[in-house]
Amino acid sequence: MFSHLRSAARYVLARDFSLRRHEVWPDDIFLVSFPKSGNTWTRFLLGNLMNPDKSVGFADIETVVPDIAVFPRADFRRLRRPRLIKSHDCFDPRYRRVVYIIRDPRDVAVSLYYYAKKVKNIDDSFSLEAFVKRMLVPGRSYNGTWGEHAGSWLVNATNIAEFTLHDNGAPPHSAGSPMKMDAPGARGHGREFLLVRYEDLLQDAPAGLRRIAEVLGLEASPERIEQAVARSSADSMRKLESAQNLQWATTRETRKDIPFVRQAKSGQWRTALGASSIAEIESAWGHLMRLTGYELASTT
Amino acid sequence: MMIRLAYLVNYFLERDIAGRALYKLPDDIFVVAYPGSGGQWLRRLVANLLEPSSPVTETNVMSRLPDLYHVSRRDLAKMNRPRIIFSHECFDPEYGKVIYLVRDPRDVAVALYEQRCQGRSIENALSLEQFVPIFFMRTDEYQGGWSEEFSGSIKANHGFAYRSRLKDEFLGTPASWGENVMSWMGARGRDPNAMLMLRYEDLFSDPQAELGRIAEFLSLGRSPERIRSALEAAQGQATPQDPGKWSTVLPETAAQAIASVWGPVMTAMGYTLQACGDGALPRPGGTESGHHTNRTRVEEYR
Repeated sequence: MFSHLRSAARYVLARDFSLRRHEVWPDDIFLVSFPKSGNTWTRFLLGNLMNPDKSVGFADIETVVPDIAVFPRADFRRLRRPRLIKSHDCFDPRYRRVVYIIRDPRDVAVSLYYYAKKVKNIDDSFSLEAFVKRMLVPGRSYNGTWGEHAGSWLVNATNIAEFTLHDNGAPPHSAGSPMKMDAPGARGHGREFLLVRYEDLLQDAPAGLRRIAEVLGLEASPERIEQAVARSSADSMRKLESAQNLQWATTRETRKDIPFVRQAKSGQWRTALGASSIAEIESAWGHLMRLTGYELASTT
Repeated sequence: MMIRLAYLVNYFLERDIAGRALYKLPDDIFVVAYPGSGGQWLRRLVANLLEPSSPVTETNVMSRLPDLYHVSRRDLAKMNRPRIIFSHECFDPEYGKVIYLVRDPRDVAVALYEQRCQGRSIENALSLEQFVPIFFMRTDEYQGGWSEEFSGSIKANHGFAYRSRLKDEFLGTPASWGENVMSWMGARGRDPNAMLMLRYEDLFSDPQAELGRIAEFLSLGRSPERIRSALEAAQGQATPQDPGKWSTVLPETAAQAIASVWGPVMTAMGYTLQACGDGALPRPGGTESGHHTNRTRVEEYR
């Protein structure tokens, strides 16, 4: 009863979270990804780029680049426009300006496994193999599976044939030609959509950040880019995490022995995942991995 | 503020309408179709298939196979499980099992136009040629009062009593035809266990086979008895339109506008982009049949 009254009060005062009920404004920019795909790092990069006077930390990231699932609904109205908003939602037709971050699903699996332990969704005895099996099952979570998330955002009129099971006389699959970074996502039709691979951003963060800034129309001198990349490095984020993990809603009540900022590398799956897990992921999502340029390891 | 307080009253009375925000149960099954795609027909077929002994009526279809947009939370909670729920939403990851009905967008445009014209005087009506670019192809008008520029059809068409049953006046996001179909295909197109993709045209030409697929998907077993009685019960409940009506009523420019934006989606779903001349089409096998014009046209879709 108390929790009902509390959420009723929150609702009337608009202190609740908006998620799908978010009032989308036409110039809103959404930073969208499946969980554990480099979204927080990108938030820091952009937050630091947009606020050069002060380094962004976990204590204030929620006000600099607010999360649609964390930020109170009423406060969204007070933000400076264009608002830059972080979201893990699957395809939402109302988002008009989207930066979509994608990461190799095999690395996502490893990262998500440790995160699930950190937030006490699974205990230490839960195996990675069982976890991979679980993350392939649709219908279990608000964010969908990795394949549903990426598929719902990346499908468009030019690649839809890749997403059909049966050949309906559609043009042959364009295997081996991954999507371009600025290919239109599900949108086409006058929407802004930028596809960013986490691995590309890791390899050359200044270039990736410059590209995002260009598309979003943010001021990005080489000095500002350099400063934002330095302030958002894995080392500096780790330091910020250990100092501020109690001030950030995402980490406040989680296990402190597992860090939020983990390796910040790619290719972890090669040593962490078993052959059967790799094969399971690739057989479920191989079509999307080919489309986004991730080489398959299993021969099927 | 007032509408939020009124919503709270409705919430505590469990009279609120879920819309997209429905609290899903793990065994829920969803029948999803874009508006104007024959969803109401499929809905009745599925309801009959589940209980062949007592066909649905216009008065009980809302409780047998409710939709997200009219039924209160209390009534949804009272349903037997597994619940089967009708929806127009674009991809929703919380839907466990989905039966998705797709229809040729040119016929969808015609069906939506006819729905729109019902009850309006001819003078006020838009021509079909205007309707397609202004409404059907539009991708930025949504249901619900939560977009700055587009307060949406809910606010325009519904009074306080209905709107106060919606949380933040939010109902759902069916989006445009192309976005709806693509979002479901992109997410589940290659997962036949999670989504059964049906085409209106196939359901029309061979309902036995398609109902068999539905029965199998719902683990009801392919009982021919059950399917036959479901079909018999549906006779006269909802009459489906012949597929391909667009080729006689839709202006060439409108058909081209649809094909120019969604052509590849239509091809992927097995629809041919060319208008089919004057009626009869050659069968894929090459044998010509003079009668059953509708059947022949449907064959073209297969």
